[in-house]
Amino acid sequence: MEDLHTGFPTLEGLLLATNGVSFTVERGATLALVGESGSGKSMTCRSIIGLVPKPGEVIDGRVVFNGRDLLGLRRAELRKVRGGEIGMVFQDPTASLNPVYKVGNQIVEVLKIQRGMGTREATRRAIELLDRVGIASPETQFHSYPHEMSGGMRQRAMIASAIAAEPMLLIADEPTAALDVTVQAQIMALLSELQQDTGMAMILVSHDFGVIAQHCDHVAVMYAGYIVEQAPVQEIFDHPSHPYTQALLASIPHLDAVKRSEIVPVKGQPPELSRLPSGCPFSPRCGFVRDGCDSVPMSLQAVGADHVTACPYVTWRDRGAGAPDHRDTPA
Amino acid sequence: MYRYLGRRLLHSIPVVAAVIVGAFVIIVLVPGDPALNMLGYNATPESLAILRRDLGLDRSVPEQFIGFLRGAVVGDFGESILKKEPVRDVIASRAVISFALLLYSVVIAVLVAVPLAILSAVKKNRWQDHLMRLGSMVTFAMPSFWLGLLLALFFAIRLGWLPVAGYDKTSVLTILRSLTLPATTIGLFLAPILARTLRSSIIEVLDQEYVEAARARGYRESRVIGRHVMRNSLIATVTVLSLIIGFMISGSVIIENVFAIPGLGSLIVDAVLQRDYPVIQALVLFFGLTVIVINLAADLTYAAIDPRVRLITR
Repeated sequence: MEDLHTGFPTLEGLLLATNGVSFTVERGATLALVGESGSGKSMTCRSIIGLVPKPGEVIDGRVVFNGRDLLGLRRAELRKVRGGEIGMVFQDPTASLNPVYKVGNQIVEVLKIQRGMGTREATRRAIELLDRVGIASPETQFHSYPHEMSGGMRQRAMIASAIAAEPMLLIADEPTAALDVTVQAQIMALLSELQQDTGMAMILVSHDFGVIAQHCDHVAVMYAGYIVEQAPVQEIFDHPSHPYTQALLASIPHLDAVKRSEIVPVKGQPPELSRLPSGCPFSPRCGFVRDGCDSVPMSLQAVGADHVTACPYVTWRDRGAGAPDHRDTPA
Repeated sequence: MYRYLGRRLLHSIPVVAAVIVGAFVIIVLVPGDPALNMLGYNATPESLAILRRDLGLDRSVPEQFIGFLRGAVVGDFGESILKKEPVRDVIASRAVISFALLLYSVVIAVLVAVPLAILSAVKKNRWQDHLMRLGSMVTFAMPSFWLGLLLALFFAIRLGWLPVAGYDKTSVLTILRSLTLPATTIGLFLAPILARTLRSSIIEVLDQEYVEAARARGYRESRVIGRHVMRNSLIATVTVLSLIIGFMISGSVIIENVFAIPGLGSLIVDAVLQRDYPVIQALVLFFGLTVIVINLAADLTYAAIDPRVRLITR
């Protein structure tokens, strides 16, 4: 993805839900998109498959998938990509499965449309898929309606429908957010397993750094429609360079945090896209704000191998020992 | 599913009982002497006595009720005083016509309303939507007898395509031709109600995540709307439709009169004006039972559309 801009026309002018987002996901690799609500993660995902809700639209940029720019595709071609080459798993499986159709038939529908299978073949394959995603007695569950299943089972069924057409890329938009903690781990394990078997790439939208640490290769941190930092997962944890990334990491509760005070929430509220400050959008909440933050360009600069950040005041030398720790700094 | 059906049937028993009592009570509650009302003040005491005996008015009220109940169970309501035919036959021949008219009207209404509702919902707040809403308000606000006359004027008199009025039962084709104008009139009256209800349901369903998920699986928009949105939007419309049908069974009086269709509507008007009590009683019972059956059908339709409805009785 290169320089993606997705905008919504409003009375106050054009709002940019994504503002110059660029990233690459390799075959078999997993990219995590992290950030607060409204930071543009979901819009980024939707832009890939051309499903930005109206009146929003992709204004600029390229989404190159297997050598083709998806944004330039005609509708019929795009439909082949959606659900065929790119599968999507939504946040809430209760809401994203149609309540009036049997779960099995919803998978059969994907197979018929994207793979051109006949009913019998598609049914057999759908049962295999239900079995593959860990649903016990798939022949029986094929005939269940979504409301007859548990949340975890529904998400497994949703995943089965997303991988039915054997996509090369799976976009999972907070796939575990609506599930119990114990089930979350199972679903993530399932996704990893499927990825290893099929070699598909994955874009995982998540809040959960624990999940990211375990399952992702690369992390892109988003804020107010910008990617503010991007790096391999280990690098993000070891050397977070952007103050926002640092703040996010500091807001995670650790078991070894002796006092509650060691968990530090990110101060302030996420900004409204209509009232973004000039310069760095994080500057009003930033612990290291200084003169000039209101005029810095939001461009990514390398601060390490494969590691870029949007904060110009974090230099290569600042990292490590010299890295500013916002906990010491008064607001 | 059977359990659900059983529950619904049980629920309708008290309603059926109430309808039967209601139909019976008419003759008891009517002020004065029904026989005198029917025959007028010039009637001889002998003819009054005969009519009283025919109506069973010479017996006690509980006896009359048991007689009525027995008749209701086997469908025997005696003879129409006016037509000197069994009430059952009078109603049956008329009911067929009325149901044909109603069915035809509903088909027309659905054929008009569904495409308009979809267009209007998909183009929400665009000119197509505004046009549909304005148009439906205009048709709905038009008195239906006037709309009927306009249609008759244009299609029957100006173009000569269809008969102006009357019911020609020589063949299925002539019956259809006779019913087309009245059915169109009723259909155009019903269509706005259906279209509006369906439009708002579709708009609500379009916001659901499973619609987005269907698009994300690469389905054509026609499939997304036709398969994934429509079925979820139908419940409210089925409710409205069942209420309207219940109302239209007796409410099509005016249209039946405008187009001289010999249906139940004109029968009940005649029966009331002529104080043909056996017919009135039987019609009240018949309308009541029909509404109950239609409601049952609506309940079954909900369950067929949405599997979650079947759970409600557990």
